[in-house]
Amino acid sequence: MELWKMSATELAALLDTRQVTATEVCASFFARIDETEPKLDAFLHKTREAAHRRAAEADRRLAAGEARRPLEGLPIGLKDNICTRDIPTTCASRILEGFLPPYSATVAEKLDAAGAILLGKLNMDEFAMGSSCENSYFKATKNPWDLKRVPGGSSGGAAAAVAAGQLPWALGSDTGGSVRGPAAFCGVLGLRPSYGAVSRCGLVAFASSLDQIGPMARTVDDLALLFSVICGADKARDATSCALPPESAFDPAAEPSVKGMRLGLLKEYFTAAVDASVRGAVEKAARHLEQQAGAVVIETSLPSTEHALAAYYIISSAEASSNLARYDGIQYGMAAPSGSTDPITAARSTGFGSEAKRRILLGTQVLSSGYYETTYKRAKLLQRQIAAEYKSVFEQCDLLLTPAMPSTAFRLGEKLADPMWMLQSDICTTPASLAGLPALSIPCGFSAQGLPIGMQAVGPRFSEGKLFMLAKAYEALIGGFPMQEGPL
Amino acid sequence: MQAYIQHLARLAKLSVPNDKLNTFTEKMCAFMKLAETLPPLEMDERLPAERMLLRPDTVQPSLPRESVLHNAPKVQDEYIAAPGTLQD
Repeated sequence: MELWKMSATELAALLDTRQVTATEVCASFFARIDETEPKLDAFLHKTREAAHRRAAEADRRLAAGEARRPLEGLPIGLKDNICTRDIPTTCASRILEGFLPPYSATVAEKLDAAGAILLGKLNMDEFAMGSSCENSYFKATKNPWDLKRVPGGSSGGAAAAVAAGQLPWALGSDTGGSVRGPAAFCGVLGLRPSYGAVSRCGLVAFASSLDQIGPMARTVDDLALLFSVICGADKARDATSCALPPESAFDPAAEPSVKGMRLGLLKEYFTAAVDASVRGAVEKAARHLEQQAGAVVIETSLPSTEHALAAYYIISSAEASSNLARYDGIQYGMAAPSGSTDPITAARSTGFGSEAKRRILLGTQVLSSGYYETTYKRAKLLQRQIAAEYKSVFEQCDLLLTPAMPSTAFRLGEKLADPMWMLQSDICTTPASLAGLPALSIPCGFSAQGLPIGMQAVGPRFSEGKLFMLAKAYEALIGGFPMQEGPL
Repeated sequence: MQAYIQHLARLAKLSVPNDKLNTFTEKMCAFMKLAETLPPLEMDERLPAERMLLRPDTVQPSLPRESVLHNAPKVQDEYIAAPGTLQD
């Protein structure tokens, strides 16, 4: 089998037994990237020379008999809002074109220390604002299952690259669904970790109280391995990060079992707001887990679900307007056009795209006098209400199962003119974000058009181990998740 | 509404070109319609309180001057050049 078709765990086994070299692994993935990238447009920046150098170093270490580090010789890609020292980090925005971070994100340092090999930075919606990857200043990434369709967003480049075998895994970021949505559209696994489980240091801020870095992969073992490397406390650089309790641990060697696990189907997600094909696939997967693996399926409810989307947009836009105030065209990033009478306004107006501007304006509005009480404060109260409802529902269930996205991937350009539709596309993912809970998008079949469908499993804070267990049991039941191996 | 959007844009140090004003207005109205669906809630003390976490306030090494200056669009005498805010 060609190396690029293998999972990271399979490649690790071959590297461990010296059946392949890191240089061969790296060359295979770059060959796949070269073959598919002209049609996919997943990468914003490739780090080919540095990757080959690191692969050669890894081979020298291994040949000298040194122990292989957990990710040594394994290729990876990072969403372009994760800072990488002296490697361009643009957030797919013109305002950061040419920016070279003077430091690396904690996750990038951890990957480096574990021996992973960075192949490049991946496309996204500008500043992670969007659900289609069409809001990138540079280009629109395509869905590898249908090149006329979007890969989802905002981590669309990461999802498309993993689905097409350009990478075995990647890191994205999830504020309101930006890992889970594209994972569902592209047929890969995508985890939004519990808030605080992964350091946000070096993740360019969109909405700091909601942002989380999360792994994407094609197998559960890969996803769990990558998560185990990036998680943990980083108190000196991110005060919200914390050490994970033992219950979040996952043992890849353990037999996957969901026998007796109580899975709640939230009735608010099985309405006409979600396509019938998606609802049907998620219900079928739940019944499959019940009948074939001994899980117990319970219908339950989270009454405030219908308001989560509004609360999410209010809170995230408020934080975005504050976080994006730092881009002034003076300290770093794009300079104002020469001759501007107001250089800061000129740089920001030229550098930000329409979606970023719109959210800055929304945030400015909801924080302004007269609107604060009726919008921002109300949204924050609702956020607390949703967290309390989840707590109550987890007294009856171990995990919740819902659709990850209300539809399958839509056509490029199809929804750009419909602002309400784009807002509604996050309807399934925002409640867990507001409550700071871990949520995992798991591929659960294809539509009649051959487009992937994702189900979302949500658990109590730090229940990542249980989420991996459920996903692995489902993976075993269906015989694994397919990848797009074709030439595209 | 359009004048209000221009006002917000000034506060946020952005300009919205006239040919984009209609689209911005339409999208802002869609959002406001969504925001208005939020129910008024009373503060319930039983709900979990917000936690404000801050990192320790300790002195740490700062970034190297060269790498910071490297990213600045305009540098003068080893300083980042900024537009003047006071006039003669």
